[in-house]
Amino acid sequence: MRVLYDHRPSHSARSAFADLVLVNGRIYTGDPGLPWCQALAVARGRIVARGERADVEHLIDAQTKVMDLGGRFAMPGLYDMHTHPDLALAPRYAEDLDIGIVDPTPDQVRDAILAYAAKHPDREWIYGQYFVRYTFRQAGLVPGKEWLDTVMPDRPVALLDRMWGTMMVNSEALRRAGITNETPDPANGYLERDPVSGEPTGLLIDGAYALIHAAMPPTPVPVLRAAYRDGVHYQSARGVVSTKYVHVCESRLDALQSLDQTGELTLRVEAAISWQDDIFPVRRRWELLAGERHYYRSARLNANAVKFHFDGTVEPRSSYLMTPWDGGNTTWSGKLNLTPEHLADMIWDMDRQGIRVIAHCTGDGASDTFLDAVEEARRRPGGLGVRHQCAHSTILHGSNLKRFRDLNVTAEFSPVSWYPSKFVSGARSGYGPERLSRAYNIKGVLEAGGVAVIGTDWPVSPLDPWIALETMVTRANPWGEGEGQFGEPISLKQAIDVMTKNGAWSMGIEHEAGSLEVGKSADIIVLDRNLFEVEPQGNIHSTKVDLTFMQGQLVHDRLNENSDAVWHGEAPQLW
Amino acid sequence: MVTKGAAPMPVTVIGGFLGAGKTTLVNHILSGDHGLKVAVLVNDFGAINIDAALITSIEGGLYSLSNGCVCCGLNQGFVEQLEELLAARADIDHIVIEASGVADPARIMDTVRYSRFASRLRADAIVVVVDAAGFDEAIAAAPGLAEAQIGSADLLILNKTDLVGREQLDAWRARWTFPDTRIVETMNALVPFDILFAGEISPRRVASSFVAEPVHEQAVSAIWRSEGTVDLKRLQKVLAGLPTAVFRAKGFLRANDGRCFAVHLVGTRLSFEQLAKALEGLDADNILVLIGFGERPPFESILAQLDGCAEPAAPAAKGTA
Repeated sequence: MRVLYDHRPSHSARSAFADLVLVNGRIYTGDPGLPWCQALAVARGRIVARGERADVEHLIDAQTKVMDLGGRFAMPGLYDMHTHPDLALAPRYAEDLDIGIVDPTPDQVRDAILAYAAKHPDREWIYGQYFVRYTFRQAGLVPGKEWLDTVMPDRPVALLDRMWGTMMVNSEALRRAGITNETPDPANGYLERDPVSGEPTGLLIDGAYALIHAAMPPTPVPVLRAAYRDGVHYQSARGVVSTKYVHVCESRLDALQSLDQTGELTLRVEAAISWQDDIFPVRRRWELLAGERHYYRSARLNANAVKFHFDGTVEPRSSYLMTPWDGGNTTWSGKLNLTPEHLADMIWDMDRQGIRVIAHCTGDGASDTFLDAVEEARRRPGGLGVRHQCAHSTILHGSNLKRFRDLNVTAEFSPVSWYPSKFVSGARSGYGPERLSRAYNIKGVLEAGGVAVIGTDWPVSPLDPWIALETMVTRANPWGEGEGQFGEPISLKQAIDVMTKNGAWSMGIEHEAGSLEVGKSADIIVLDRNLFEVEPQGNIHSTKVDLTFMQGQLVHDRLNENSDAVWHGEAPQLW
Repeated sequence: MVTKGAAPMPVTVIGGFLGAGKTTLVNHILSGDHGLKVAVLVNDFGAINIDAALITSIEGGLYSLSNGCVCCGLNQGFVEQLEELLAARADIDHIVIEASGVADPARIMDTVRYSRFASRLRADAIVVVVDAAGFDEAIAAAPGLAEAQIGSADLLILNKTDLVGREQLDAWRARWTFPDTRIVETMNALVPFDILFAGEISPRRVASSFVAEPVHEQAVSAIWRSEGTVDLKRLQKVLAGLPTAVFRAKGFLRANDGRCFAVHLVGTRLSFEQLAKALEGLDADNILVLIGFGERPPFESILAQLDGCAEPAAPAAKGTA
């Protein structure tokens, strides 16, 4: 059944007939030369003919599977170019300690730790949540290693407080993390210390967690595998054929490879290795970037990208803007996490190795600096001209719109606030009306000849790509929960291009995927409605995907439980 | 006077649930006669009642008042705003930060204690204002949050006492007073400045520099002095276990390992700030001022315990070698 690894030597004999033929469809190809057809023939994962039924008839033999679409609408599969199923789902499978009481007393915390330790004798660390400080104070106790050592002296314990601002650890955890009186505080946090002796008390604040996380075993590969498996299942069931998992480490790649090898990686994945350790430690970053990443490579998986956070976000006003946040009142315009010089050298270095740089840029100052750095890297010798990616692109400066085309940079947008909602009137309003009016300027990038793509950015916003498709066309609230429109809509045809062909371009595979043309990969989805015949608002986001074909293989079948698809039925409920 | 030199700037965070009286307290500070140049970062600038006649200048969102205070809205990255404030105004004596009603003020103080501020800011106190009449509603509205707020308080202001009876106040205290809680009861959040801000220690005299506010109770103080050095470990224990009638302590100490410290105690928060060298001009090697409030603290027994930490000066070393 799998065609993925059925690699054939160049000179082996091939069948002259199709493996799969779809007939009686209303197939939108995305190819301006032949936008619509009724029939498609697929051989060895690729489209070999299209047109009327008569155009594919000659490719049918006894082995060919012929499917009658019954007049249903079909189109190229979707591209979700920035998302994180692992971050949303791994905690669900990690089985860390969860005390599960709003304000546990120290006795309840102790009992929960002891019960967990007894139940998980093979777990090296006892890690979880949470304690609250006031119940300790109420009991006349001080949270910290001294207390925790009386509970668990020999196994390392790390417990977060409810606000996730403080981590309490015992002496064994400090020992394993190598934390002593001499350990310096990180810039974005501190170790609570005895005021006289300077000895760490076992309370670690904010950025100091990283010292403990670095000493803990990484999230186990089976946990990550289970998380990705759910994500992949959902995406295939919602018609996604290619995605970028932005932020991976060696364990995440192991998990993805494991899915790939068992036939459950039912979409193409470009995985971006984290450039920073701000989400999780990447222990083999430099080995991966130097070449170890190739061991994960298959027709569906590659790790030829890096991801990093260049600026912050709107809520803490850490997006880096070209003008101060507050008009003339203050000089604060946000901040960059790396120097522009670091960025230019890094882009050049990655580009020479064929590695894509995906930069988190929410403010117009961040994307401006990123484009400058790409321009600088392009001037230097030896680059391969990789298509780098500006992630989120929340606020773009008008004069930068054409630079996406000029510099071959993908403008990636995340759909979380494309439409009026409580979120936009609340958090996003921090940008102010003028900036909000040019937020998510997909139309501007497209009109300037650039390539725009979307990423669902789950868990920041839902993993469902159809919300993005609808709101690109309407810029209105799909559920009628907010009045009016927000920003500039684009046409349905443009929006489909953004989510298909443009995605393929941003992965560097536009010559072999992204539209339904002869010679291209048979990544086809069959829907329960014709997108061109429904009122977009309220109807596109609820589209059901009946069938998903990935490289000619049926991977999702919503209606027929007995088919040989990998996944059946409705998409799993993940949130 | 002992010069302030480059001593870190004390920071007070004011917390408490919505409607507890935080803004009233901020207004009290901004208009109060405490003689300090206080910079106040407020959560909701619109709610602050600044008399336009008192504003002497407005620059970059920073309102300067005729009593030396400055005020600005908390409107950007918190770390960066503190950096800007420190850069813009070297002349301020104290920073007060008003937390949002739905925030845990301990999180804000956590940031003040980041290592980047280590030599520049000192966490002085988390002051939490509680609406004596509305605390149960606060707990119902945000389970866990109101408790966390009082749990992070170094000083607790039980406010709006005029709206409830003595019985209800005592019931509140019985339910929510932790073993080490320091409580000031107020109407209109009129907290005595003696309790809110530390005074100066002058070479010859230790005294409050503040004009007493018209409140029910007055602050009382006692001074401990000793020559030679102190056993810091022992002293730390004494200070951490002071009766709750002692609200503040401040002083200078010489440790037996040669280090010198400024000591600050506000309610439950005890910090030892190491000094480059001993301060000159003090009338004793070690000096501690204890400030009580409400019931008179048992100063005699406290002073006796402190005496137990003193290590009298060793006889001058003999030049034998």
